[in-house]
Amino acid sequence: VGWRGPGANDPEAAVGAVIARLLAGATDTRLPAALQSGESPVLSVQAGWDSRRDASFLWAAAAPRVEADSAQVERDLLTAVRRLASKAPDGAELDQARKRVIVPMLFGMQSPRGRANALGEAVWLNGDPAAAQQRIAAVRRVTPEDVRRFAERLLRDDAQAVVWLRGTTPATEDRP
Amino acid sequence: MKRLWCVLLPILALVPGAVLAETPPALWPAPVVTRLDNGLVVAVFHNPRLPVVQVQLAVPAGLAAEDSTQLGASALAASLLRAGTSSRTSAEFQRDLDRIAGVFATNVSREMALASSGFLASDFEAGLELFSDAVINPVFPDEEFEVARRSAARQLGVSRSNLTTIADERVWMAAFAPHPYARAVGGTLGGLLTMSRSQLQTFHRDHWRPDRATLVIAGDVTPERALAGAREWFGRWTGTSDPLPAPPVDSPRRGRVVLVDLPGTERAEIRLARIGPGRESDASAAWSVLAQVLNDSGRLPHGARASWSSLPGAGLFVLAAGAPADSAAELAKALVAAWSRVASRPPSPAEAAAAAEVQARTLPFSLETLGGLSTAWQAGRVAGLADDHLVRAADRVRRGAEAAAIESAARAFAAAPVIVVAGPAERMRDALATLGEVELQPLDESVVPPPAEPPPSPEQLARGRELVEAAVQAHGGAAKLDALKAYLFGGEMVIHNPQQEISGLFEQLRVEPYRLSFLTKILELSTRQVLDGDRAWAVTGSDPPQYMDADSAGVVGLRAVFESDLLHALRFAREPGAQAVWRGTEQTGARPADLVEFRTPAGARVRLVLDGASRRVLALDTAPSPQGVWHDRRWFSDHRLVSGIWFPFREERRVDGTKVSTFRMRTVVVNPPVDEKLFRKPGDKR
Repeated sequence: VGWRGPGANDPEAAVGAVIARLLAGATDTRLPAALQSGESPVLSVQAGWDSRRDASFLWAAAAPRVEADSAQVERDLLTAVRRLASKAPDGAELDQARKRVIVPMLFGMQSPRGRANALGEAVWLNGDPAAAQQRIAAVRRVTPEDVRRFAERLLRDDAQAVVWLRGTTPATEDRP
Repeated sequence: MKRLWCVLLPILALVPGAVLAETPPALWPAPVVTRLDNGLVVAVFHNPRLPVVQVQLAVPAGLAAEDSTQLGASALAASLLRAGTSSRTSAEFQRDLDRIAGVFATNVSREMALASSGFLASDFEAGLELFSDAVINPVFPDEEFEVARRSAARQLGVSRSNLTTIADERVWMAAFAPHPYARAVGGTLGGLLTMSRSQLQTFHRDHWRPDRATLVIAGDVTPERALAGAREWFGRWTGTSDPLPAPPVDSPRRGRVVLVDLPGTERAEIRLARIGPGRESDASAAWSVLAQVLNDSGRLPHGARASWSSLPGAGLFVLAAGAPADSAAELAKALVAAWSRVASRPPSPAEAAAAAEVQARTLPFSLETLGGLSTAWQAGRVAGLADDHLVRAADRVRRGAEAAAIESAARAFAAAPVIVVAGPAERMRDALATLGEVELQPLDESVVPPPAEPPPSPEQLARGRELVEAAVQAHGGAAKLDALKAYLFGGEMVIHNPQQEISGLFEQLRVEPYRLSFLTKILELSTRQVLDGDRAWAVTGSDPPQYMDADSAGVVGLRAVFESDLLHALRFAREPGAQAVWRGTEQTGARPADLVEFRTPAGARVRLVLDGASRRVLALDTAPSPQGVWHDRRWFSDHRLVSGIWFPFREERRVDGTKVSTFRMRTVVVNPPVDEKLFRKPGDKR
């Protein structure tokens, strides 16, 4: 599932990156906790934030087991993501998510190539190379209420898309 | 390139001073180095340009530390450090790492094993504690060990399909064997499949010790804070590690062509190599400069590359190229000619100086990251270089271009190299023979040729015969087995695929000699394979049934199936020519089981695994490799007495440790009436 969001220059764009890391990418995040506890019908979960100049995209994905009720998995996935709009993260949860955004950015900026990539991305996305540095500061400033408010703004039905990918075995006559 | 600059220049022009001011150019001063009481060398590179820290431990636990019976242990041990410690499960370790958004990685080379972790500087103490727990206290849990072992074996299988990887590994083998530097990263299939968890624990105990280890702490942490952390979390680490082997000597394979046979491939990879000085030697720099000159000067055939890898005690200079198989010999000759010209026409001082300058100026790129800096420092330290060796690294490279150094290195190329060619041997062998004696190697798992097995002692032979007789007795006695002319058995079967399990039914009728009816019903599909002496056929489905005659290979296959049951194994083992040999014991369940190897009348090696008390056959091993790894094992259990013979009612087959099938018998009938129609193909006049 995914939601269309504001462009990279939106003042709250950094919140989107934090939301993605609140949802997945580590053991203590929301999607594994909601969809993968106990005898779970879900094999794996992922989430990400894809930021572009004019728009951005929050996505979350679940891979159900073959025998699972995939419609129920979809409902559970949507519920878990939308819960961000009603239940803001606590301090520790948010702190970890912020770190998971910042640490890869910092390690990526060690080398000249990494710094050049960060600067180039900032120029293309924001029209300002200083945005590379400002992005880190913006992530550090994200508060629990920022997350709840941005989630409320972002997770609207009219901005939502749902895609199912079904594994199929091609019929014999269709095989090359 | 022009287009790239069109993009980059406007970006660079826009860079404000504030951004660059916060990320000043990196410097590589000598680190602050301290040796703890336990011998651990701690080096701190204080670099505050980014608020992160990387810690990296180097231990002499690389391939060179492996025992010849533990090939693959170094990489497996390193990969399992995070799989659970004496105070954390694997999940708890990952959870704690996630909480600081840390990363943890390991890497193993011929000379050393590295473990590293990175995190925010504000989490330095928590990160260092977690890191120390992983490297000092791993427990290698059973389940994770099995998963990692299989994963490593699969990875090895994947690398076997890569011609370049095969050639690269074989050239190290050809140049260095029997020295441990000959070993392949990742080990061998045989080593992985026979490795036990306790071997891995022993490997860690013997080699992951502080006395010859170095810990680098680099980043935004002061030396005082870093050393306090190191003392806190590494100060109580104890023990001493085993010494590494002596440096290698020059290869006995020089002047020969090692041809690695890969039937069916269309391309070939060629390597020429020789051993050079170790990293600790100043002469090493000249060899590196030579490689640079060859790559930059057009002295090599099109597409060929020169490389220099330096290790403690020795290095390896390699020329590498690939070509269609039919052109491989010509390319190999061109490479040999280029090799010889290094000695007859060494690089000029100007060429050498230019090449050295390229290396000196690009050196900083490899030291830009905290990880690169740590690895470069530790690699020098392992080779015995001084603590401040990175400060002088560029000067060392430039000295490698001095005339005396280059001439000395170039003279070594007057001697013939080791030549390794990987590809279809049949298409290349004759043409390659003009380059030297061709030594054909199959694509097997051997990295170092297997030791010849000593002939069995009279005691082993006597014990082997005695155990076979005991096993025959335990299954009902020779008279009962000899009287068995036919038996019928059937039940349920499960085929274990990686993706899913497929269940079905089966029934076998075995009639001496060489008559077999093997019926399977899987997913509504019924198939019956029939062997009738020297011919065979199969029938599938019923509406209408489809009949198919087996070719000669199919007949041979079904005859092998006929002979593969437990009762035939016991009969064969008793025959005078079987040469039953006792091969020691194996811990199977609660007690040791005896291993007895013998040869079938067809010459195949088979091994019985006999219960230490009852002497019943617990398992049957087949398909051994030259290294003594038995790839195929069938486990027998639930033995029941039928007409005076003990039959196993459950059989589980494993190939290379992976379960592939399970048969559960429901009925066994000894010497049943035989319906001749079963063996007669409809329409067959015979």
